[in-house]
Amino acid sequence: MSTSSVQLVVWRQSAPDAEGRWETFTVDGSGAPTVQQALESINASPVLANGDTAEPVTLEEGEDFGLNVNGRPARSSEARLDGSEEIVVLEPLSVFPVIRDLTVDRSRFQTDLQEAGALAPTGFDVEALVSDCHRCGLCMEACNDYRRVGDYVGPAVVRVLERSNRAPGGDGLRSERLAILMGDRGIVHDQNTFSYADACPDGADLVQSIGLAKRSSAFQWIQDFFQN
Amino acid sequence: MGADSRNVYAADRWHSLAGVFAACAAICSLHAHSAILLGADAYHAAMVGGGDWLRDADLVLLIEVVLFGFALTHYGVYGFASWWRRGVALPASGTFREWMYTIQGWTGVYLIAYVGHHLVRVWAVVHFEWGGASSGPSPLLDGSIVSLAQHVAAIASAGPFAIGFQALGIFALAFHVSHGLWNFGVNWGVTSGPKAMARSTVACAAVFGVVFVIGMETLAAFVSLGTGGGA
Repeated sequence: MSTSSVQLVVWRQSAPDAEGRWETFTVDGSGAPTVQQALESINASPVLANGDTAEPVTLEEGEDFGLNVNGRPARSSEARLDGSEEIVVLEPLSVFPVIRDLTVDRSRFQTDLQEAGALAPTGFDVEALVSDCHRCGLCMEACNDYRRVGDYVGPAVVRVLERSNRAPGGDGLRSERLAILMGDRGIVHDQNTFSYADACPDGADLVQSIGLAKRSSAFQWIQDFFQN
Repeated sequence: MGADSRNVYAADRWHSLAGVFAACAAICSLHAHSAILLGADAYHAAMVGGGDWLRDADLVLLIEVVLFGFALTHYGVYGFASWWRRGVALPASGTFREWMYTIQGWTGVYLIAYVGHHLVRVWAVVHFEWGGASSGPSPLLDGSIVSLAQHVAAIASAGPFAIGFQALGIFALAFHVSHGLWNFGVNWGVTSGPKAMARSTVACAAVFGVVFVIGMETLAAFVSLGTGGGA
């Protein structure tokens, strides 16, 4: 275990419909670099472990993106090659379609988030409501129900709606937000496994958000049943 | 964003309420059967004696149609359909909650078979095999005279398969009811935070323990009676 070189096994895919394959690179693990740093050092001179030259690995823009490191969702700037594993497997997030290599198309998530953000109370925008959300998609990756049900909006979006409902002035568009929460893509799909409980690298309390969203939805349903 | 319809959400709420109905029916049934722990006479009194309200033909019909025919069927059919639609669950991440979800699904499937079999068997016993609703030992169709307790004991202890079938059914029932109670708390917003859910887990585990132990003791009493050990 004293060796500082790490075998980085990286998923390569040239296009969304193309067949993918694995490529192995050897990187220097001394100093416990982050996955982001290791990939950037590979891209400086992309050579495979067997000596062949390779294409640079396509990364998402910015210095922070979500991917699977040895099967665990993580952020590229936080997962470290700390020497505990000699072989580290890097895969793109699996709940979003692959664009190229480790980059994925999160447009569905982003569109849903924008729509939810548009229902924010006056004076708030989605940034103010969930300033700790980096749109990395790791909670979606960890959410079994987002994976199981193709339609579910997912925990990050539920959290935005739930935050809006509780923010000052949140009563205004409350029924519109609840319509999404109680709609065909809403929290009915959450099966209480809370597999995303600890998934947020920023420590967002997603369990509490989903729990409160279920509470307000159930109350609304009871109220509608006896009132309408 | 799919805000057009609340049909799925509403269907899920009705399924949840039907589950409460089903759980109450199951607990009442287990409670009545557990009278065997007090002896064959107490069992007989609990099932057919006493106030005789359960033997009122109109009421029995109402219970059969409304409770068994509608609520249980809806609960089972809708539950199975939504479980199937989500994809048959094998524990993916292996977390505690994922295991609970998985076992909840599989115990639900088993309970459809177990409760279905149980209801058909009870129906057969009440209407055909055991000589009707008279209040003493009664002649079977073959002319032999046994008490209701002995008759039920003979069914329950008919062999390792019958005993195993019952034991697994009791486990499935205890699990499905207690974890269903936990789910109910979350889905209706009674327990909405991690700490409340953790407390609810402890309470529901206690419910599991009580139902499972009473169920197994009841089964043991029937097996003992059926194999000649006395009640």
